[in-house]
Amino acid sequence: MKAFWSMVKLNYQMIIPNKFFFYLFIVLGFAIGSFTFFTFSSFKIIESHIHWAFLWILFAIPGFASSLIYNEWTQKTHHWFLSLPYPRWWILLSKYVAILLQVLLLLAIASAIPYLMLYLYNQFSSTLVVNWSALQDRYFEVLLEILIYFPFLITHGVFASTVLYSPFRSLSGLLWLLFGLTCPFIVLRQLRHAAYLDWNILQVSPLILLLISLCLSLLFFLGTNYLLKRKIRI
Amino acid sequence: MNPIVSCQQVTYRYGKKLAINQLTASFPQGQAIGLLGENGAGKSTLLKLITGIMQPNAGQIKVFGETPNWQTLKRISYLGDRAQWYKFHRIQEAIQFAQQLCPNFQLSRAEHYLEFLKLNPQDFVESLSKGQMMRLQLLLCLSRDVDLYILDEPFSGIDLISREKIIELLIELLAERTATFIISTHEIYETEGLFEYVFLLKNGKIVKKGKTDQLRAELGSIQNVYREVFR
Repeated sequence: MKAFWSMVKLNYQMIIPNKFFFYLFIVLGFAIGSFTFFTFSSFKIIESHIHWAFLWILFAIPGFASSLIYNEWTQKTHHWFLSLPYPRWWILLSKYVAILLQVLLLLAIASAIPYLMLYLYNQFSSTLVVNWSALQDRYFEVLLEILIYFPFLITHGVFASTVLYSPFRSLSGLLWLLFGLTCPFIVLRQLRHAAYLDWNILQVSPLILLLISLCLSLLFFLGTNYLLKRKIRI
Repeated sequence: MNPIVSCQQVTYRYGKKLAINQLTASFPQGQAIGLLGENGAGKSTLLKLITGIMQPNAGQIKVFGETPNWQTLKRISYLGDRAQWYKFHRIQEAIQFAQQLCPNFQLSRAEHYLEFLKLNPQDFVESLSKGQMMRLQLLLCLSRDVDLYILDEPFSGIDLISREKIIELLIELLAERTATFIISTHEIYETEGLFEYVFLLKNGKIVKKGKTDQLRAELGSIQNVYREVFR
């Protein structure tokens, strides 16, 4: 178990090394804070727009995930991680957990800043009337939905970048196309309330989405495990 | 004596390029084995197949009597060709990390090598020169107590002082351990004294092999054997 968490820590540092974290935090705080401030100042009802503050994280996840594999190759550390005396699924799992922790932290930061900004803005502005209960419901709804996409996006990013180091590298484009196709769905589903979109496909229940996400994740996980075990080229 | 590694008709291709061509060989146990050959001869590929990092397209490899897998890696310490370490670590952190992850990692041995190889534990990996990086890699690899050490080009592209230090360390190790060492290199002049057995690899095939004493008796030196094969 100690070895596993050491591996998670290493992968965690690989996504965003500690020395950059302070700067990232400042940039994130400034960007989300100013974005939220200007957004709130132009809307009277903000509950249905709150997702914009942290929906972008979903699109960063495959980037984080693929960089974790890509960096092993570009920094020439892949010999080391591939010759570790642990099963491939164990190594993969440590990478998934590291990405999950990193993204949860970003999500927490990106969720807290708009909330704080809104609170402050509400104190000094008479134009904005916040229904705190409705806002919290919407927060909960969006965060839950984002968590549903997590397994799919993390395993997809790792798989798509592992494919690059196998004989099937030409399939990588197709995998990113699949991700590209899911993006409009994710965005439009969040917009459906504010934009009054009543398309059936956007009304799918979160439970079905979770099932689809888990099934695809399992496929990507098994695919990556197979590639690392049998087809990897270094 | 049972071979520690045996290869039967092993073939590996990178796309259309044949890297290992129906190679058959048995690596004797408990010896320092040199894997010699020109660039692109298939040395690194063969070592990756032995560790189990890559799988052969055809043929069979047995290490300790079984097909290479993650369990056999518990008994193998592998240093990859031009391998690097995580740049955000200090040397001390790299050692701690290796200790947590690698079974049979000997911290006392690592501390001894740290002094011997003149590495500062507080230095960041990012700031190390090529020679220092190789010294660190070697330190991490050799601090493990395993049955088989595989070193892929440990002398390539590094300065004379680092090279001498590494050779000195290997001579010390070979004298005190009973493990098997497989070392690939084309720096024959400085390393030929290390090996007890050599394999010469050309176009993915073993073209000559034998005990170094016997080969020396035939042609004077391993360099002469190398010249004869690759001229």
